[in-house]
Amino acid sequence: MKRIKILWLRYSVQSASLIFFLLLFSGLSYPLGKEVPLLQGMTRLDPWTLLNHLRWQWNWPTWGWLSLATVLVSLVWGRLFCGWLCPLGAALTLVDQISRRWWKNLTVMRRNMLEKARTWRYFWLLLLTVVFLLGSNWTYFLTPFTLLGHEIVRGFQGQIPWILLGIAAGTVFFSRLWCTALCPTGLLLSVAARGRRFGYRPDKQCLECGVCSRNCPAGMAPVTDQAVGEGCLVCGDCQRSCPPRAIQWQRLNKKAGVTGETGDAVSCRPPSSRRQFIKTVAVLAAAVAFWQQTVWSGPRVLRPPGALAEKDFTAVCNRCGRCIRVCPAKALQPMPAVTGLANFETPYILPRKSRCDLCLSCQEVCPTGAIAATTLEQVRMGTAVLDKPRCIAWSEQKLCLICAEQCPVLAIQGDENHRPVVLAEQCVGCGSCENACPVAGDAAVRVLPRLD
Amino acid sequence: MDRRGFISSVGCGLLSLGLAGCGLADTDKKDTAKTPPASAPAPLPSGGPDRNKLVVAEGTDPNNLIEKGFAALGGIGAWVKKGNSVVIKPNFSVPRKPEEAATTNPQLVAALVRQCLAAGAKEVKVIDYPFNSPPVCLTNSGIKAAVEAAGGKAYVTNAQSFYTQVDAGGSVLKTMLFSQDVLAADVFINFPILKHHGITKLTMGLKNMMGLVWDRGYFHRTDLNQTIAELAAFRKPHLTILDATRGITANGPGGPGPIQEWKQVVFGVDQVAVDTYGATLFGMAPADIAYLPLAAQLGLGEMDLRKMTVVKV
Repeated sequence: MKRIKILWLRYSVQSASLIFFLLLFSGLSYPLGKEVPLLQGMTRLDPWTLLNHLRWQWNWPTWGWLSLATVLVSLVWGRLFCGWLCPLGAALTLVDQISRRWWKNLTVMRRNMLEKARTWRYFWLLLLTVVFLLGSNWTYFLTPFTLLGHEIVRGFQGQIPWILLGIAAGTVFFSRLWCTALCPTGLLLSVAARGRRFGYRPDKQCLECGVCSRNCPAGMAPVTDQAVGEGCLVCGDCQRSCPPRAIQWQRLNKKAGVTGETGDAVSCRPPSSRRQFIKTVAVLAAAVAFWQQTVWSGPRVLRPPGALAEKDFTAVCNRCGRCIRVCPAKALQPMPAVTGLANFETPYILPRKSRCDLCLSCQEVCPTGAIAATTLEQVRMGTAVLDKPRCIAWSEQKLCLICAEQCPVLAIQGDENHRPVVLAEQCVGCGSCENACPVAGDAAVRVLPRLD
Repeated sequence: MDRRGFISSVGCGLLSLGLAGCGLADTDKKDTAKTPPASAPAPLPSGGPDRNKLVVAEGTDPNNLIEKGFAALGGIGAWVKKGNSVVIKPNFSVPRKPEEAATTNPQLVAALVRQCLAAGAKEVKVIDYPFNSPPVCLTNSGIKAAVEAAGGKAYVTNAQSFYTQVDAGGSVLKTMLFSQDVLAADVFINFPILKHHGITKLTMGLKNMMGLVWDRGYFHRTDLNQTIAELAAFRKPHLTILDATRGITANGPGGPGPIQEWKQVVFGVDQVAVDTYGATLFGMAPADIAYLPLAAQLGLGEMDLRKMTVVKV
């Protein structure tokens, strides 16, 4: 009974986490409420948030203990965060539990895949880490709060959340492969969990029947009297399924050994063979090759107010989509894939479609600091430039001046003949003028992105 | 099926799709043609209020200003009957807060909403098509919170679906996409603020009507003052209430700018007379506000305040 109670307690915590996360995103709108600090706090439970901050800012943030707490918990009890608290983990638990009941014939394939993943998952972590250290945030993009948030935003925008659907489909065939072998947070906490003090381990009653290994969603089931692998999601499925009830949650004795440390090749130890050395070099080469794809290049675009200098911006932005979700004017849009991996999914503004209202909500929701908190006076997204031959006030003497009328910072003034003049030093680059210009096609006044 | 048969059937299919589209376009046009040119406001029962009267309520308390203004006009019952649908058009076109004096005072609008509901209105809609996004303008102006607290609905008509193609009947403004809400309303009240405007010098009632049109760029591209006058001729408000409690006297319409307090609210059926009064109050010659003489030439109202009965309360 106690085991069933714990199971339902876990399901309750997971459901609450997923629903809470969804609600935070649905409430992410102007004017901002308490969703923002709650979402920021939740995001900061992920140690990658702290690593991202340290990589970019080189100082200790006041919230750093939140990330550290997750790591500390993993050091003692293993991946409790992944198995109990992670909202993406919760969603995948649901998919996994359903598909395990409906497609029982896939059990062997699931187990084989998960066991194969045990051998290469730390190479993948190495690749992610190298890409991250070289200065690309695609690693952070794959962490649960970012990825799930990104997909929720996509859903709210009426687009198909295809990454989430892809991961869910993978979960049907390969169980929690994402959590065990692909998620950067999961892998990082797996490393932390290697020295954990508590875990599941079978006692001498173990029949070596293998039921637990068929039921483990992470491919971490114990072998004979060793403890479960460090990738264990602390779900307890092994314990509940064990026919002789041999598996117990207990204090782990260092000497007793942990599944995976003896037989398998584990890559975070120094390469012990030529093959591992070659693999490591290949991974490093792949990481550098990928990183080169993410080095900024491409057209200058209008970035959100307070965005870092262009190269830093594309390196720090994790594409979580929160700024896009919160933008009341729907001015912030994700850049398409054709602009390259450095720009893909980063927010930008096309002023002819929508202007920035300078509410600066995007600064408040940004979890990475890519959109830095600034005052309105510090905002410099770009500068308006007037094309006099196209302007109907200059070329046709029309009483237009709509650009000046709609400029929120009085950076366009009419001269004595009601012709617009741009005061460049006052212009923040919000795009109101370009948006409102009544000239057909391209506007007669255009905002050129700042150059830095 | 052979290849030729397949091709011809595909061709027929495409053709029929195309024809279906044509049919749709045609019905659209017919609908447009059927829309009556609503040059006069929908008739109000009970003989109608006095066109030649301007009521000027003075003070600072929003509820009191609206109450005594309508009392001097003979009660809101002259406009709003039981079961009526009322549309109020304040000016919250810029993302400013009430204290920045660039938008109609939300407490005045809320007081008017309460009056309308007390008179038996079925629904009261408060609309504008602001420059900036709906959440920012509705929130910053305080309009949404105040109107909803008073029992009305406040929203922004920032999509083409809020508009319908009409025959405007002007010399420059021939056709336009105009607010469906206003066309469908039993009672339409224009509720502008008196403030500076960089292009037309002042914005009051007539200029505020531009917030009911989808393509404002057309006004700027053609002849701004003439189109403002012709728009006022298309759909006259049943009542214009000018918020002249306070407004910016420079850097309009967006501000921020220096704020002048007049502590007045002007009520009138004659929209030109209301604007004329406003211009005078602002300290400008009404004839210098180019759209006012143009509107007067179109017979829309009186620019000579000596011919009006001005009642101060």
